[in-house]
Amino acid sequence: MRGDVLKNHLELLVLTALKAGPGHGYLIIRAIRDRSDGEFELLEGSLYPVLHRLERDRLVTSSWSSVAGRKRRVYKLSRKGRAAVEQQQHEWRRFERAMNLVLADR
Amino acid sequence: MTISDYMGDLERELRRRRAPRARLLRETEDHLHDLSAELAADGLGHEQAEARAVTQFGAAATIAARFAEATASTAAHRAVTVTVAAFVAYTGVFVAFATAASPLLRDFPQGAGSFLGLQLAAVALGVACVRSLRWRGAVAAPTAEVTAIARALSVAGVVLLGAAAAELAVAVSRPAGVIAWSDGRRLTLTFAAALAVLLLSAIAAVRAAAHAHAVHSLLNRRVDSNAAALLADDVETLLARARLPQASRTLRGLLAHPWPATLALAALAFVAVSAAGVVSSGRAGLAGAVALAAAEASMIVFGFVAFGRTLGLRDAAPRRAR
Repeated sequence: MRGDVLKNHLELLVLTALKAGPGHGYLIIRAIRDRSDGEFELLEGSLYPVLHRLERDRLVTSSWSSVAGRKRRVYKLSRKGRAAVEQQQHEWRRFERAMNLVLADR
Repeated sequence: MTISDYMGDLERELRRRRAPRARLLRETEDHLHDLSAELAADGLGHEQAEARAVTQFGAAATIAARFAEATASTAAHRAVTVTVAAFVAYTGVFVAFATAASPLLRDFPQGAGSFLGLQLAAVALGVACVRSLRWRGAVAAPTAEVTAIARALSVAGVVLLGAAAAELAVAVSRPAGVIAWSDGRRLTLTFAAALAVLLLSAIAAVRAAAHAHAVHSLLNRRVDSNAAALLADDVETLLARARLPQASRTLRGLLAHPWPATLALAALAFVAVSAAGVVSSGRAGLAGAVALAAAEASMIVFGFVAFGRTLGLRDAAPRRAR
C-alpha cells in the first residue's frame, strides 16, 4: 500500500501496535507489517517523528531498557494513549462502515 | 550505502535543521542493525543487507525533515508555556511596583518601560497563543505557523527583556534615596526572580525560532507572504470551536483592515486614558493625563509599525520584481 496513504494513519497504527504491549521502534514496525500481512510497507524511519509527537502529547511514554542484553528505547502506551486508541479505533470503524456503504455496488 | 555512511548523512541533515540528534541517531542505528540482521538472515549478503535496510528506512533528508518538523513544533509549544510564565511573573513585579510606588508614576520614568513593554508583549503573546492553541493536539502544525509562533515569542521575550533593562537603567542612574518605594528590598528580589524567568523564556523562544526558521527555510517556503491570512484563519477556527460566530466575523473584519483597526484602537486608548486621568486627578491633572494618553496612543501605532509584520498582524510588503 502507498506510503502517502498510510502516512495519515500511522498514529493509529502505532498506538494499536503498542496496545499489545511495550516495544522499541523496530518491534513496532514489525508488528504493523506482520499484522497487515505485509500490506503495510512503511518508510521505517517515518515512525520516529510519530513516536516523538505521541510522546509530546503524552499518549505514550518511553524509557531506556535492556532488551536481549542491549539498551533500547522502549515505548509504552499511557492511560491517555489507551483511551485515545479506543476512540480512534471506534471512529475508524464508523468511517470504514460508511465508506463501505458508499462504495457498495447496488 | 552502508549503515555508517547513512548515519553520517542523517547527522548532517539533522544538524542543518537544528533538530535534537542524540536520541534519534541512537534509535536509528539500533533499528538499522536489527533490520540488516533480519535481511541477512533471509539470505542477503552483509553489504546488500545494509544497503536494503538503509533504503527501507528512508532517505536521510526526508527522515530528518519530518523529525525536525515534529521537534520544532514541540519546541514552539513549550516556549509558549515558558513565555506565558515569564509574562505573568513580570506582570506580578509591575503590579507590586505600582502598589509600592503608589500613586502610580510618582517615580516616573520608573515603571514606564514595564507599562509599555507589557502591553507590546501581551499582543505578541496573544498572537503566539492563538496560533499555538489552534494547532495544539494536531499531528503537526504547518512550519509557517510554527515559525510565526516562535517569532511572536521572540518579540515578547525581547520586549520584556528590554523593559527590564530600561527599569534597571533608570533605577541605577537615579540618586540614592529618591525612590520612595515602601518595600525596596522585596521588590528587588521579586524583580530578580522575574528577570531569571525572563532570561529562560527568551532563550527558549530564540532557540525555538532558530529551529523553526532552519526547518522552514530548507523547505524553501515563504514565511510572511500570507501571515495575516493565516492568523485570521486561526482566529476563526478557535472562535468556531468556542461557538462564537459573531466574534469570529468581527475579528476577521478587523484583521482584514489592520491599519484602520489600529488607528481606531489608538484613538480609543487616547480617550480612555485621558478620561481615567481626569477622573482620578480632576481638572488639574488634565494636561498630564492627555500627555500620558498621547504616549499610549503613539505606542500602539509605533508597536504596529515596528512589529506588525513580524507578528503576522499585517502581510509582508510584496517583493519587487528584479
